Amino acid sequence: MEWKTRIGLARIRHRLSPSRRFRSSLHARLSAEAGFAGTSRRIPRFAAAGACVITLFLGSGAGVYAYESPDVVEGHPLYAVKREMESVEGRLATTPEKRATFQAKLKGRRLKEVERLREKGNNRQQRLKAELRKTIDTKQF
Amino acid sequence: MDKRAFDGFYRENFDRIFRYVRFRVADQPTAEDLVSEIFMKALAAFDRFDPSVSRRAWMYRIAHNHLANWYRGKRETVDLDDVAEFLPGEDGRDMERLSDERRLVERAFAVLDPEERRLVTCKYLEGYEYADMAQLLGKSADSLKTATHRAIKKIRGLL
Repeated sequence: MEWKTRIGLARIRHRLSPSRRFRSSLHARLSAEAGFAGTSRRIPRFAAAGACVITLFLGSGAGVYAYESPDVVEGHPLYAVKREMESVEGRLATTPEKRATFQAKLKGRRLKEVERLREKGNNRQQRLKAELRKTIDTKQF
Repeated sequence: MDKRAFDGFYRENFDRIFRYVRFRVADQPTAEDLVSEIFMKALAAFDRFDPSVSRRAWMYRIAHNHLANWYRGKRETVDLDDVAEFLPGEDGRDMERLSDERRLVERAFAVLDPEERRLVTCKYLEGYEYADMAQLLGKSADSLKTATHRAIKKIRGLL
């Protein structure tokens, strides 16, 4: 092809080309839509910090207990640790599938805690009744 | 679809599809809106993509259909495949203020027939390979190459 024609076509092609701004902004929107939004530069740093938190806590016996045990419920001293570890785990779920799995896991954990609280409530009621009965019986003497 | 596959798909198709659309609409913002919609559609359909078809041809089809629907919505009848439609014509349709390049394209394309215009646009403005064009246009890559070279010879000295 004659060089002048080649240059002419290349110039027209350049004028039809997209801007860099639009190329990257559309890529970001599509990435978010596809569930790749969690792979931006901020998240890996946070993910690394979160992974360290989890590792440190899991490395300690208290951390493992707090995270795994359904007995660690609202009111328990380690409950805040448990919730923080879950929060970090949630932020590491960077795709829609991982988020859905995590949400299902959280629901299961909350249900177990509610059951445990109910059991504790029943047990507590029974203990209170037993203590009351004992007091009444003792006072009779 | 994993991120790498998506990034590769985007890199492979974005510029080409943008130029395809940009040549057929009046201005950059309209082209950007349409290209955004086209890629959203492609993303939604990505898992249904038939690997026996080339991805470029698949993406082109989505862009072509979307653009045709857009024009239908504007109640304009255009032939997307005849790019002379998108140069200012005798009907006075003012797609945008004429740039030098547009004038040159108009002058060069005036000597080509619609099929030749399509070949030159596809190859040199949109940036498709002959193998892709073969899938898009239903002809052999060799015959398209010969026809395109003939068309380029006709516009020699006009750009």
